[in-house]
Parts: sequence; structure tokens; C-alpha cells
Amino acid sequence: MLRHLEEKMYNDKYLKPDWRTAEKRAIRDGVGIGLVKIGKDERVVVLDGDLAGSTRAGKFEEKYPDRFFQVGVAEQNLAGLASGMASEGFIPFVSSYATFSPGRNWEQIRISIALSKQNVKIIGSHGGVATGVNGPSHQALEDIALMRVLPNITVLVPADATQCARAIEAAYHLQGPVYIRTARPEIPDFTRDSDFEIGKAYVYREGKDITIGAAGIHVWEALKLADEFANKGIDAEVINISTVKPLDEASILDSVTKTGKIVTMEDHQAVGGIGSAIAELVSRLGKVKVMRIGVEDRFGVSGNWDEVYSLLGLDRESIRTKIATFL
Amino acid sequence: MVPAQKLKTIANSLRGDVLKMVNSAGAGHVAGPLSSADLFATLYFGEVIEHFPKDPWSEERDRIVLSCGHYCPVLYAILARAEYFPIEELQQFMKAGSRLPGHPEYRSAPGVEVSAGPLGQGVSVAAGMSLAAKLKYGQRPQTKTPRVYCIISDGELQEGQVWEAFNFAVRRQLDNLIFLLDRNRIQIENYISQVATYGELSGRLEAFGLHVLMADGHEPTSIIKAIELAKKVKGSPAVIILETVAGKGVSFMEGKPEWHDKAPTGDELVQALKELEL
Repeated sequence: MLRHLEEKMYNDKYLKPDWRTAEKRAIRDGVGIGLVKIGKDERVVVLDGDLAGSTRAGKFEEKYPDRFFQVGVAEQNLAGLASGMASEGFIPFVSSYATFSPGRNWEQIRISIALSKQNVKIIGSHGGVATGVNGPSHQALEDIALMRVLPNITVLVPADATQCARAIEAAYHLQGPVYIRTARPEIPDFTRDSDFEIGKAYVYREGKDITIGAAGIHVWEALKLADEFANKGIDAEVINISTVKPLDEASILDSVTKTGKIVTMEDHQAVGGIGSAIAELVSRLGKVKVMRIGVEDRFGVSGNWDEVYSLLGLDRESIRTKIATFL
Repeated sequence: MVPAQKLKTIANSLRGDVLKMVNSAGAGHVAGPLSSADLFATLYFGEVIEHFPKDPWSEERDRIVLSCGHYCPVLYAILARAEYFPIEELQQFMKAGSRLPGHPEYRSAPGVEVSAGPLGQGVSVAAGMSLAAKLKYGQRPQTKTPRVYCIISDGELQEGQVWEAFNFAVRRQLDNLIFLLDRNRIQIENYISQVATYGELSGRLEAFGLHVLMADGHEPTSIIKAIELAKKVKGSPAVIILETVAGKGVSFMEGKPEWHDKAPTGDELVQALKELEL
């Protein structure tokens, strides 16, 4: 129908033209690519907590074995070692599942890294219930909250593998602690490769009726939802909240001033993550309607991630229904 | 060779500094700073380490990591006496905005190498620093590689992170890493032996692969001898168990858990300084 006109709404500066049918890759795959790229700098070291295969930190080990340190199942030590190495001029990336780092070593990150402002980059892999069959103990639903609530930590949530690799690079260039959340499953690798701008909320689709703020796996889902809404005459603005902290206040406030309402979506508790960050921000305006979609104060379950998403209301179907009530 | 008596005199001054600081602030830790005063005097004035008060972050320095961060009054005192910063600054201890907070913060003042307070964290940081030194200077002979001296307390060994760090340090053969364990046998709530039954301390440390040495923590000669032996250990980190008395130097404080973190009253301070002959 009016599709050819609506295509203009999608930002082809950031999206691949064939974003709807893009090949699938896991966000975590970007870790291997990014680390190898920046690994040329001899100050870069990678420390892993016995999960290098699945976190993809192992790709760095293959290329630069002398600067890769397998720390074993000892996440508190992992954080402290990185702090010590950073104070000596190295640029350490620490890698584990988000449930364990920053989960288990949150206090070490708080004092040895955040308070000390050490130049350590923390990669929290397997974020969200999308982790799947390993179950709730391995599904991080609190990590964005845990990291954004600490001073001095920049928090990044790349939306696909390409963006993840670039986020690693951006973290490398930034002086100071950074947290990067990655995820396990293969999803469309839909963004154009370009520098990752820390502190920028990417408007992937312009619209005037509702703002959708999404992070990680839900960004592509948000774009698909926007497609559906367009067919119904609803014009959704889709923003990738790829930097959770510092939030791109100007862009987000501009958007909600225009649309008057924002729905956020994330594979994280509905409290504490990007939804909360955005609600805190837009409450300044006082008149914006906010709906936060995430995990509703429960743990996930062990199962294939698409099933788990359905069960927890994180799938497109459930979200569509929720937004319908909101519109 | 610096005479032991000179070092003991410095240690006594440190004890006085600590008690005045803590009395003035109305808070702070006492038992540990007093039990470790001889160690700190020996480290900074005993000509056993490389350090540069006028160039405190020199790459060539030995890194002195205080992991049992609550001991910081004595760290601040020795840094002041070694002229890292003016001795008058000790009066700023625990004052909002000062460089001398109640628990140390990374480089808040010259000579303060790590943020500490939550026990066990400094051990990992020290291991990371020694690994980094090995990466940077590993081709040098061991005697020329900067060392990391990490001061830990016996109560601190209750934190699991300490053993994670020991594991790693041993596995990586970090022989430029020397732990100095202030064994004063107390912690906040009680004597350590009452709180947690360890079994045998040196045996456990040896089983983890550390090279264990013993020293009388109140005899500078014994401390220096142990440090010189530790420096020669190849292929593993060393730990020097310093047998000490909590609250050493003040008769009514010695050996008492209740002096872990009690600020002396004005009268107690006067009495203590008299005993310390200050």
C-alpha cells in the first residue's frame, strides 16, 4: 500500500536495506570480532572466567595467547586482577556470564573498579532469559540495573553482532569502566557497520504516534512491530537504547515530546533496566505516558528461548497485545 | 643496615600518630595498625624496598598494597613520616573531602596504591599488579622486576576471594609478589580462633603453593631477614606470617578484640602516649 513511502521512515544510515531478512548471528559473536580487532594494541588484555568458548573471548586467545588469562571459576578474583592490571596501564576486558560478572563480583566491581575508576571493560554475556535452557541461574535479568546504579560505569547494550563488535571498540577508546551486555541466541544482524557512538540513542525509525525504546534482542523486534503498526496506520518511532548510561537525554526527550508516549522493551526485569532509566528521565516532563515491558518480577525458566519468551511475555505476540492497550 | 632500635622508635611514633588520629576523628581502627607498626616502619625505613616519596608512582617502585584497608591509619602515618605528604595532613583523617578517608581509596594520596576496606579485594588487585609487572618487565632478572608487597590480616583470610587470588598467583608463578600477613589473632567480634576454626595456618598456605616464611612481627631484624629470603624465592609467591600482638605497645589494648576499632578517649590517649614514651 503506502509501504514504499513508509520506507523513508527507516533510517538507512543505520539499518541495512534488507534488515528484515538479514542473516542471523549471535550478539556475543561480536565480542570475538571486536576483541581481535583491538587486540593489536599490546595494552589490551583479556581475562576470562572459564567461559571463553561461549562468551567468544576465546577468539582473542587464539590470536593473542600471551595476553589472554584464563582465571578459572573465580569471578571476584577476575574483577580484582583486572583492576590491578588497569592500574599498571593495561586495558583489561573481563568476560563471563552476566549472572556471575557482575552478579557474583558486584562488590569487587563497585570498589576495585568503579570507585577506583579503573579502565576495565566488563563483558556480561548471556544476558536475559534468551540464555535459554541453562535456566534462571544463568539468565541475567538484573545486570543492567546492577551496573547503571554504580557511579563511573558506562553501560552499553548492543543490538546485534555487528554493533557488539563496534561497542567493544568504542569501550576500548573510552577511558574508564564500561559494561557491555551480550546475548546468546542467533538473531538478525541488521545494522550497518559503523562506529558505535557512546551516549547516542539511535533513531532507527521516525514516527509520531508512539516511541518505542528497545535494547539488545528487542531492537529488531521493535522494528518488526513498527512494520505491523504502520500497516494499521500507526506511526511508531523506534529508538535503539544502545547506551543505557549515559542516556541520550536530548534525543529521548525530543522523541517523547513529539509522541507523548513511550513503550520500552528489554530482556531484563521491568524494574531497574532501560525502562526504569527512561521512566526516570521522562518523568521530568511530567506528561509522558510510559509502559515498561520486561520480565515481570519473576525468574525465567529453563527452555528454548522462544518458548521462554512466550511464557514470560517477551515475544512479539505478547508485546503487540500489551502495546495495543497502551495506544 | 638500619639499626633495629631506630626502626622500633619509628614504629612507636607511628603508634602515637595512629592513636592521635583515631582519637581526633572519634573513629578508626587501632589493634591492627598497632600490631603492624613495626612492619610498616621496617618496610619504609629499613631499606628493604624501592620507593620514591618524591616520585610516588615511579614505574621502578615496589608497590605496597594494603589489602586490610582498615589498617590505613598506620599506612597514612608511615607515608607522612616518609615524606610522601606533610605530617600535619594526618589531622585530616576521616574529614569530608580530605585525601585520607577512613578506608583507603586508589591514589587519593601519594603512596595509596589500592582502594581497600572490603577484605580480600586488595589480594586480587596485588596479583593483577604483579602479573602486569611481569608482562612489562619479565625479561629483566627477578631482582630488577618491581615487586608487589601485599599486606593482609589473618581475619581477612576468611574471605574466599583471598584463596582465589592465591590460586591464581601460584598458578602464574608470580614470584615478584610477597604477602605480609599480620597475624594478630583477633577480629571484630572475637579472637579468630573463636570465630573460625582454621586448623593450621602455615600448612594451609603451603598446600596452596605459597612459599611460607615466618617472622616475629615486632622485631625489625626478623622482618628484614624474612623479606630478604622472600625476595629470593623463585617460581611462586611468598607469604611471611608475622606473629604480632593486637594493639601492641599499649598495655590495656594488647591482645584485645575490643580494641579492633575503638577510638581511645582523651584519658586513654594520654595514658597510651605515656606508655609509648611519646
